Amino acid sequence: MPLLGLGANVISQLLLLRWARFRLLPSLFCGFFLGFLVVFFLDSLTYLSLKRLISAEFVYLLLTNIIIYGLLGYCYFHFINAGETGRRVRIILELYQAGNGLTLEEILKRYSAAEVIDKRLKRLLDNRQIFQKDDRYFVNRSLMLYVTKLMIMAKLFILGKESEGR
Amino acid sequence: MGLVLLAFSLQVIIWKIRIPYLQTRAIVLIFLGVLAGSWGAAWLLSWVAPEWQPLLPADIFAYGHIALFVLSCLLAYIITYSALEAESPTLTMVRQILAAGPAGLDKTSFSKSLTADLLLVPRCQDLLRDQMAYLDADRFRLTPKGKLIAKLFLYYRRLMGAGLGG
Repeated sequence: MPLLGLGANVISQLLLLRWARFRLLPSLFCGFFLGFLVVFFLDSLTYLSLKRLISAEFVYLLLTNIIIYGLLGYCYFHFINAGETGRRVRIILELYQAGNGLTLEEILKRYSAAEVIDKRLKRLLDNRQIFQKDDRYFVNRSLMLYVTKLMIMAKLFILGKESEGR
Repeated sequence: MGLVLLAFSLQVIIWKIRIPYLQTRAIVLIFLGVLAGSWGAAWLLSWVAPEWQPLLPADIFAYGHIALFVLSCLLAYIITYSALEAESPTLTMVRQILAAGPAGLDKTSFSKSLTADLLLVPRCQDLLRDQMAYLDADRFRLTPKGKLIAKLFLYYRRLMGAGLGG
């Protein structure tokens, strides 16, 4: 069921994006929700048609499948995100399109640190994660703030450092 | 859930001793090892102590369901871990703005600290380490694995009607 839900998620997201002209993020959220409905109803229908009663086993099964679906949906979201924002993916695509390989200098000419910064600043401003006042940037009390703090804690816990440099 | 926590705990212990060179591969091996070990233990227990049978997975579908859960957790964790392993420009930017305090941060501070050496050169080295690219004299060229990934992302981004990203 979670795999069917993921299939429904992917297909509906693509349809919403290409044919219903949704923006990327709303299409991802709607696709995820539609996939969730598929998991919920297919699981309920299959179980109830076989056993004809709601039991603890049914609740456990449904909950587990919803968690699995959520995890797979999270992976799909990040697959799309990697294509949108991933630096490794962008460099791979540059190398693929160049055909004959690229030197480090050629890679940096096609994809500069300035472009990386500008694109992310724009995204952070567009999504209101940060705001700009008198040419200076400030963080909004947003989800990004908590994600950043969580990631710093996770880095310190697992890797023992908060960035690649220190 | 217990298997996932066990695998994660094992990973943290190994990382405290020494962080492996191929971190993602090591995580995959730990999770798959724990999953295979649990299957083996369950099979052994069903022979040695049949009275424990009610606590063990009932049939092959139950084993498959557990495997699907663990593999979904593994995939989601690998994706999240890649953000821990590599310096995320977005998180670094938010962290820098936070560190600047109530005075905020100007744009030039980003370009001073977020250089190509920090943002892009390590990602090119990642491609070599993960065997997605190789060096031919001073040119980065894609390996078959790198080409496959490029084709996958190009195909999917065409399906979404998107450009190169990054």
